[in-house]
Amino acid sequence: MSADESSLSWKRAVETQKYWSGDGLVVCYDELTGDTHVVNEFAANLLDILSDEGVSTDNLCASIPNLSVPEEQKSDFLEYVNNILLDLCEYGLVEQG
Amino acid sequence: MPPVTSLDAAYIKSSLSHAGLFLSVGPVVYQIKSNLPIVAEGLAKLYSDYPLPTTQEFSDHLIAINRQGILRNIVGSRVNFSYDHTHPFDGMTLGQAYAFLEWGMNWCISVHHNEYLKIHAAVLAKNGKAIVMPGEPGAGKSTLSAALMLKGWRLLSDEHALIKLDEPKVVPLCRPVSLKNESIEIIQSFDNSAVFGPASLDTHKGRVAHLKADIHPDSHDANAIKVTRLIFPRFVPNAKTNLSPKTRAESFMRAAEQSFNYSTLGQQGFFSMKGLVSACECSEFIYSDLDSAVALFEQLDMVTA
Amino acid sequence: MKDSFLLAEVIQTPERLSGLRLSDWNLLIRQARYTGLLGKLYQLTLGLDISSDILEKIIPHLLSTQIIVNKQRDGLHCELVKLPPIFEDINIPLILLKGGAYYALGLPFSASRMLSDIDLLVPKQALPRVEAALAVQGWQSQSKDAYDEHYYREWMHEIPPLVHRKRKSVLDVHHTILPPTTKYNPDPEKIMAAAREVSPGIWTLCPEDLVIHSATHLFHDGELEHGLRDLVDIHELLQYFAENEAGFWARLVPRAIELDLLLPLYYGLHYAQAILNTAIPESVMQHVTQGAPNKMMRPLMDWLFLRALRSAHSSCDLFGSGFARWILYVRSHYLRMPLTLLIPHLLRKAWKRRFKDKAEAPNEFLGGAPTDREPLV
Repeated sequence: MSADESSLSWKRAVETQKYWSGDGLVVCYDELTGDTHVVNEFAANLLDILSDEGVSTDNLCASIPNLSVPEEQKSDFLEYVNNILLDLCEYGLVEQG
Repeated sequence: MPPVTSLDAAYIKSSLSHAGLFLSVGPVVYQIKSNLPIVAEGLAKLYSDYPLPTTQEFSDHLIAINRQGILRNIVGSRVNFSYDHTHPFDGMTLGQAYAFLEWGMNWCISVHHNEYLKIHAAVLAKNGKAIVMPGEPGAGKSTLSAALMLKGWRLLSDEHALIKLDEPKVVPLCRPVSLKNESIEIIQSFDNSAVFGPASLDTHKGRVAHLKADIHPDSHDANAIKVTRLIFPRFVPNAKTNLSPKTRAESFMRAAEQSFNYSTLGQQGFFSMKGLVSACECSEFIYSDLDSAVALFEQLDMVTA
Repeated sequence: MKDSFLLAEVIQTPERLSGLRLSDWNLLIRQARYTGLLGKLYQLTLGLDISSDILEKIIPHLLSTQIIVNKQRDGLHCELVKLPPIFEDINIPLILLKGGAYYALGLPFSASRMLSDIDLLVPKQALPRVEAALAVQGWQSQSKDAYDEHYYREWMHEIPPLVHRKRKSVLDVHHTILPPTTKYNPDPEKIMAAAREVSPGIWTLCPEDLVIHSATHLFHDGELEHGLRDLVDIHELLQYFAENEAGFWARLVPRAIELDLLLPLYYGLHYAQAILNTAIPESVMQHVTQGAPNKMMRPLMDWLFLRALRSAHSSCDLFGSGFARWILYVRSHYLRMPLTLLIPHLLRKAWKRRFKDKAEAPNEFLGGAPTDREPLV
């Protein structure tokens, strides 16, 4: 992940209702637009951790409990997280800023 | 005048051409007017065992299906469906009149009744528990429902699953099953005691006929029933009939796609669908012939796992 | 059945609802459905003592409509979050008209009022900038063809409706409240100058202008199929501002005179009083009657409007209602377009309605994704 990407700041864009349906999937309801999405549990966890204040991808991952990523996989992992955040942004659930 | 105790042909014919035939279908009362003999004939064949509504002072849907235009006696003239005093659709030919009525009755449910979460699905029940089968294209849900109904399952609806908003229960809305083209013959040979209404030819779906669907003794029980299974059927020629689990999340989304008003209900829709899906065992059902399909359903454990 | 305008009677006197029989409700619900007032009927029943037998039958219809209204209000709320930043960026106030304004002001009657498009008022010279800023955020023009586009831009007072490509909400962006081709030319700058900011970044017309606009829309602009519903809006606005806006009655008629819209205001007050028994101070009625049509015309206009404003439901029709509505429709178009353009336009609208707008014969399943389906009352 580039230096630019890792310095992006993310925050929650809307309030969501979630249905943790099991099987690693979560149905999310966007309270503002009424849209409904299916995301994986990890993404739903990210949504829960995010707040109205911006946080970088790095700090976001650091605040996920029980998450220990081996050092050699860290940059791949950060890229994975960044891609999830970009998808959530596309859905209107998170925003940059 | 002796009290009317059933919907016999004479009563139906007379009501249709005067104040209207009041028909009680689950929680809904239709008031139907028509001057067409084929409509009287079809209703007499398919609805003779329906209960009389408790009152004729109020109907939910006032509909009429009549010849349109001034020259009412010309062969090949058109008929029109009206909802109260409006005409939501273009006319159809006389030969399609009975199908037009049944479709119009479906339409009444599809566009009103947001007091339920409505899913385009067949609903069948056994032992007081219901299965909701969303009708995606290629599902063959009507043919499957017809076969199950003829083998003793109670049909709650062929078209609309009316799910209560606050609990995962479905409200019965039993009406004739609509079958088209070769499905008509398939069901006739599946069970030759099956009772059909008038066939409509040359509809945009081909030939359409309706199957009397209230043969189960509880058919007209109005109580809502708990839903325990959500099954997505798919007819696949030559495939081995089987039932496989489906994730609740995917079932949620596919049921929402088949819903008439999931989006209209907003947040309430989300919660109602969540309540429904989490109360159900969700499955994909592949079948290639009715006998093996019915046999598999017979084996189903209807209580939630 | 004829002459039985039950709907107007219960709007005037909601307490009557407690005494209605089931057969009365049967009629009432039908009248309300066709004039788009089922939501109003629902609101009127709240807090009233109605037997459970009757409630059981009527509640599904009333609740079903309120659910649609709630969804529409959610949609409007969403746009009132998304739109202000766009207008702030281009430094143009976001001025709401009609239903959007009633919602933003939190007017009680708006809680059950059906909404459709969101109507905005912007300065004419700002139109290109507004269109461009909205386009960037996903708002696309929905004119049906080049003729419609021309009609909207040249002769109407709107650009064609803008639809959001994802959310499907519809914006009607106006630069004046009447088309520039009519003989009435209320100065949009005066109207915009009196607009009020009701919450950060969200403006509405001032109370007098909301009433005057509603009356103008009904009596010169609109198609009268929903005439009674629009008259109910006027009735509700008058009642609300009479109680909650100091000096409202004193300012109303002078403002209409200032905007050169005294005649539509006269019609609004006169017919609200005649059909819905709206409480209007005698002094105000006397003042506004100065703008009434000449004495010979009044009986004719009364004949036309009193018929046309009744619900479109045939149970309310007096003899000649359909004819009255047609005459008034032609009149409103005449007020809007030069005659040379009027007749070809009317023919074209009639042709399009007949052949394009009716739904095809119903499928077993009315195809399309659920979100594509228009909710009906």
